[in-house]
Amino acid sequence: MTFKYTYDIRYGGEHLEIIISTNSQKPIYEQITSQIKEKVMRGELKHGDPIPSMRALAKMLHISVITVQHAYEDLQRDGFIETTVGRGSFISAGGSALVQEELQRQAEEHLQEAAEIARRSGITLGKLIELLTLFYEEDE
Amino acid sequence: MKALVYKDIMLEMHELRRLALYYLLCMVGMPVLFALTSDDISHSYAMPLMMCPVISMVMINTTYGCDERSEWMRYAMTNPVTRIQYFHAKFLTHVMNVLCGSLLGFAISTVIAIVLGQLSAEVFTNNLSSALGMLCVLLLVGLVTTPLMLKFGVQKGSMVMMMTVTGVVLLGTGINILGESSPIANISILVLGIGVGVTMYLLGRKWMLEKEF
Amino acid sequence: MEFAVEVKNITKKYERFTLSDVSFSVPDGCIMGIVGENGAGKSTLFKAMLNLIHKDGGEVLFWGKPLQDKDTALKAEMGVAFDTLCFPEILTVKQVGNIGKYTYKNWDAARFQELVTRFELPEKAEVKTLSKGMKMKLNLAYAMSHNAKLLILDEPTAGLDPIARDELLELFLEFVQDEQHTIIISSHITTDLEKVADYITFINKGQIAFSKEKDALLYQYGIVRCGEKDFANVKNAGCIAWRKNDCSYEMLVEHRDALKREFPHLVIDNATIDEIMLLTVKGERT
Repeated sequence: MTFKYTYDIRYGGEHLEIIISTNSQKPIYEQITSQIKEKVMRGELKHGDPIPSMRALAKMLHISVITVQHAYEDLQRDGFIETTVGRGSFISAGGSALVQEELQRQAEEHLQEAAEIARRSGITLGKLIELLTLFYEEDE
Repeated sequence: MKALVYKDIMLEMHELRRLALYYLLCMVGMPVLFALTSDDISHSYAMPLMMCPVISMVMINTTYGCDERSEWMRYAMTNPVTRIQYFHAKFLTHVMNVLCGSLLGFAISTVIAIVLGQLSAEVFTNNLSSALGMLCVLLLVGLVTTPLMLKFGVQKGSMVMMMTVTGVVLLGTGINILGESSPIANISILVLGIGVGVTMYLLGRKWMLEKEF
Repeated sequence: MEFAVEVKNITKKYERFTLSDVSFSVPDGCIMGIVGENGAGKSTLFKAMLNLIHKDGGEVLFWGKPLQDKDTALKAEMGVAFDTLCFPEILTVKQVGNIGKYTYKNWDAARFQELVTRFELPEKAEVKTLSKGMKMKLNLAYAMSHNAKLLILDEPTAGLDPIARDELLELFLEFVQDEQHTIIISSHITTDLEKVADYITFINKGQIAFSKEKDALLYQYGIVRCGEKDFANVKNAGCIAWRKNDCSYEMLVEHRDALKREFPHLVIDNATIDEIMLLTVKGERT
């Protein structure tokens, strides 16, 4: 059986949704980590936003404290959150920088792919740049 | 300890409510019956002096039964209660039972004597000394039965209690007969009583400390 | 790391059963699950920890102090619940609260009232009229209303329906919101422990089989299902216990990721606590 838990955590006015599947191959602490990282990437969680304390999150998700601790330790190690004794846990600035890095890397990947396709199909560099400029300015 | 005594009293109150009529019959009804049917009228006001404390004393049995059924003692040991406190609390409940019983017995006895027009200074003093004597005897009984009940449980313990009460009643009768004849007999019985009491108390302590749940 | 409870080399001999050399530690602020089959020694262990029986050897420390019968201050820091409610059955809920009031210096009547209301326990109801679930809730209300730092619970969810169990698990998680609060809970219902326990200690035939972080058990242990060909390889590569079925071997391994890398073709499943216990008890040990 698959149980999906969606927890709507109203925390400091913000709406934090964490979905854990108890039937997934992915360990629960990894699910928490990746969801928080995703939210930072998407901009749903920004630098300075508070997240629930380890124990509070464990209670809300009905899981063990150590599982959440594991997740928070990973997030802290990867620079996404900061935990201060007495003040709790917050999204750190480092996360945004890492997000930047990650997004740039993704952009680079896509550009590389585009470049290869262009080379194979005979599209000139000039045409490529023209297309890129078009796309970039399109949404402004 | 306060909690343990409170709990026992609550259990006894419950039992009392349940068997109120029965107790009333024993403590009041029977003496009245005696008064109406017996030749020696003094029996009717002597009866409550014996019956009331004994009935009050036996009420503690219900607490032992309830305790055992719910494995209360084991649980009580995980509360901030020591094994010896548990023992003392049980004895304290016994003491309170017997005190109330003696007082009640004395009161009923006096009332019956008044009603029968038998009340005199002599009767009053006799009644009082009988009540006090009964009290002392039953306190000793408590010192003997409490450790036995705690050690052997309700089934075996109740039997022992019955035997002890019978034994004491016989002893009491014996004292009555002997006591009037020789002060040495009085004193030796007193010493024996104290000896038994102290021994059983120490034994009770030992058993409680060794008890495994 | 501060330990709420340290069990050191506990030994207790009975005629037909021996608890031998049991040792494990419970860190502050965690939920420690104790699992084992019936008769494995869980209840005996608890009794030994609580001084309800005399130990043949070993000691138990609570926050560094041994528990003695006369140490009522230390006893007051713990709340205990056995699998049945131990209050005499003709007492009412209110009277149980009064017993608590007279027993504990730190009794919090407001908290008890709050829990009684939350669990919908009728104050005037006699204990014997309460359902099994309500009795356990009363038990926990009592154990949690005197500012205890440690809860020791012996099969508290046994015989309860899933809804009642979930309510109790919620209560346990609430209790450990305070980092100074610890719970030791024994249970047959391993799925409950899989949810909320931080550590799992497994007792088998009077001995500790393992005492580990739950996540380590669930995410590192694995069950390999393989044939004769792979059996020898896996056996030498970190297998803890194995069992031969009609068609295959079932092998409990401690590092499934590493094994998967070494033998990519192998079928390795996640292990539940039940399966780990089963193989440890029924299987051959390597």
